[in-house]
Amino acid sequence: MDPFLTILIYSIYTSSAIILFFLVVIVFLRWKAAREEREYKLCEKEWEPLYIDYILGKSELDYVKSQFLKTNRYKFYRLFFTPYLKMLDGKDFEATKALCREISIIGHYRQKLLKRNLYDKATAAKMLGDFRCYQSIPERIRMLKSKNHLLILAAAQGLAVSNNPRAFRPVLKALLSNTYFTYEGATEILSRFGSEICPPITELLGEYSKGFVPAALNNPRKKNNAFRSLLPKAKPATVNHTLLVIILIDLLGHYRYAEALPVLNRLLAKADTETIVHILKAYLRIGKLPAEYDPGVYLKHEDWVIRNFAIQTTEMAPDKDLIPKLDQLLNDENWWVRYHAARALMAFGDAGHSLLILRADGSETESATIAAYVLASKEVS
Amino acid sequence: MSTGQVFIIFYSVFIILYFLAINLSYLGLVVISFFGIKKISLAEKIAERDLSFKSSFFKPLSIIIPAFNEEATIVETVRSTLSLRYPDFEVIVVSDGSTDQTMEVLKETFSLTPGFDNYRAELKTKKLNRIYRSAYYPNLVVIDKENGGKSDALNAGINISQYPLFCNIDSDSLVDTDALLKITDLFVKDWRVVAAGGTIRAANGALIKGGMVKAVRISKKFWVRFQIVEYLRAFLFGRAGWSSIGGLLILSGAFSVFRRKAVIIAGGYLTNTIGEDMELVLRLQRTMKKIRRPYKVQFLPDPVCWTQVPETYGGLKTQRRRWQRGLAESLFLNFEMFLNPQYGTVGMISYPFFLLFEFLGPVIEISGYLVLIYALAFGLLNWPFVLLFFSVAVLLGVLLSTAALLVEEIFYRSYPKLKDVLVLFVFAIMENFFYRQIHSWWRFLGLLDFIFKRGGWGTLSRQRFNND
Repeated sequence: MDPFLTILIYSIYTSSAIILFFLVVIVFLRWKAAREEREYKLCEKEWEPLYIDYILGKSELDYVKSQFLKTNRYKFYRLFFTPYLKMLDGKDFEATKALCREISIIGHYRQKLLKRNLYDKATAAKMLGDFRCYQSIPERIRMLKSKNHLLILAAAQGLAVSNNPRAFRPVLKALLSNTYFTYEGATEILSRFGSEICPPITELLGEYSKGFVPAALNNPRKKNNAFRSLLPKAKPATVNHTLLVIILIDLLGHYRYAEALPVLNRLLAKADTETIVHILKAYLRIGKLPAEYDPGVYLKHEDWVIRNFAIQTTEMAPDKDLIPKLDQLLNDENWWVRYHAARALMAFGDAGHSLLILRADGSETESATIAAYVLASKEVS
Repeated sequence: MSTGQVFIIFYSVFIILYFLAINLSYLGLVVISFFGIKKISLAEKIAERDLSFKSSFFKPLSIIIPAFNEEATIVETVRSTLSLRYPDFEVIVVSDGSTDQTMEVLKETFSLTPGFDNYRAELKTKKLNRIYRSAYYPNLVVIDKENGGKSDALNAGINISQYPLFCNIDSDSLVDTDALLKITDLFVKDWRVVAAGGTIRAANGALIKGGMVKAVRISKKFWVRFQIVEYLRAFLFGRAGWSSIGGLLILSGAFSVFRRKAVIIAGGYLTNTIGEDMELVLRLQRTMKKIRRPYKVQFLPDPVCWTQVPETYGGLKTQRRRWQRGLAESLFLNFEMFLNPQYGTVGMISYPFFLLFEFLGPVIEISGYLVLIYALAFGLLNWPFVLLFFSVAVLLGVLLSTAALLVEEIFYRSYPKLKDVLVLFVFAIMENFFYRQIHSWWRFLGLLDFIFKRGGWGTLSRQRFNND
């Protein structure tokens, strides 16, 4: 037979066999998943009362452990405990962690952390984070130096939810130096550490506020050593000191750390536009203003974002002297500034409210439209 | 040997080489996409979506919904979009000169109040009539503007958007609850990402409640089932494969997210092309290269956007002709990328692939059928060869579709019933005997439309989502 036809015939056999194989795999996977789901549901049904009794102190650890160990399937353990680990805190969390240690789940993931397989390592780093396993912190900090982005991410996330401030600096440095994380991404992960990171952050910013010399970035003998050590040397163009300052300010705002207000106000005095925005945002989140803070300067700022946040800070401490300035801002060129000025006036009580009614009926289009809109929204709500 | 015989031999050799090249490329993409999706599924496994959702640091997002005469679906789409799980977002509906009740139903349902807004005319658009805000939802903005086409509407939406990322969702589409969290995560974790897209699946037949897909079921409609198989193949190994090797040329217009600033620099959507989604992705890559900004265009198979696919012969034909014309326009408007090493994988691999196999594919396939008729007429047909070759072609087509079904089963298992998967397998076989040929013909007509510069968007009749 023509060799070409022979090749075609073999191609038919091969592709038919592969198609059939794929089909069998699909059916098998479906059957396996259904069986696993059934088995897990049975386990869950059995484990749930046991676990609740244990948490309520009605059952002993040894008994519960022996019951759990009847089914030695780590996948099921993970499925069962993960939601509890995420939800619980304090005594209940510690009790759950103790049970997991006893049925050797933590040991199982610590073993996996040492494996070379990317999948095992990353999953283990995440799970050990959920268990807040302090013993594995050194290994996970070492993972931050990996070349694999996923491993760094898994380690960073795991370390952050472990709530151990000791890992804060390595994670921050790794995110800035070894990944392509945006400032939002880095801040989001760092915000999982817990409020214990606030005092060291305030200290760092305090050091920075005394005067940072960007030109001396690569000179370790210059001041701001602790601050500078966090900055990556390889990517000065993408990650600069302003970005680091912004991340730290946002974290203080996130934890509403009022003790940092004096440092933030010191920074505000000489901050650039971007940093001012983040400091004002931090004030709003903290819900308090430093005694020396004067919003008047920022209500006149050329950047609309700053004007916008400054207006919102006036709602925190309504000062009647600010009403004329807010009234002026009802005609600002930016819609958001006009909107927030109108909303802020509502916070000034009757004086602000009657001014808005007056403006809504006025002849100036911008202030009339925004005043009418805010009054209408208030009615709807 | 006659001239006819010599022609048939040469043509057969050409077809065999072309066939080998296209199928080896597809098989290569299957393997690449499998490993790519495996990596993505690991990233998903370690992701902390709940924490991201609660975070106030997640990148805020503007969702733009262009609408032209969408009175039947617009309220459901807006409601579904407003209920998405995302920390901070705004919804911008752009009514592009709708002549039906689109504006009226929006005004009534969402209590719209007119107002001048923060509109920055960074991209040129047709005249705006009015901008509205909702008294119920402070994050809902509606623009009523003169008709200028989908691209023009999107550009108007970009102009008013206040956030660093924007997403465009078609008004006949519904997005999975966590889809936006998943897709913007790419931008958060890598500042180089300038554009990203997710998977599109057919909503026809699925059970939809409150603007959300509650139960995935496959439609009973013949044409829809072919399209389900097609979409699975296109997204699960086509786009996932190209994305894994950094060669993505297209993101679906129905659901993709872009970095606003990058799109503004690139000049926004082009209004004189019908393939505005693909064209933007290509021009964005050219622009980023020109301004020397590192960039990435990515695809994620998991965030799913459910869309109503055409259910009739006419609707599908119009859509596919338009797609082929859009592909041709996008490729030729960005021809400088062709075999240009400056653009890496895109210039050297994916652009030539699209030109050779996606653009010219229908011409080659149609010519094959014509030569077959010619050979048959003149008794030049080698029957054993033709039958065996056709069988191999069919089986490779089925193999690719089954591979997509397998990937779907391993990583996503969207169709809860095994019966549905088996039905799709049957359609994966059936499509080779009729659908494939007619599809090539539509694409061929699309090329003629491109050459003779004819045809527009055509009209698509919208139906309400299946709320049964």
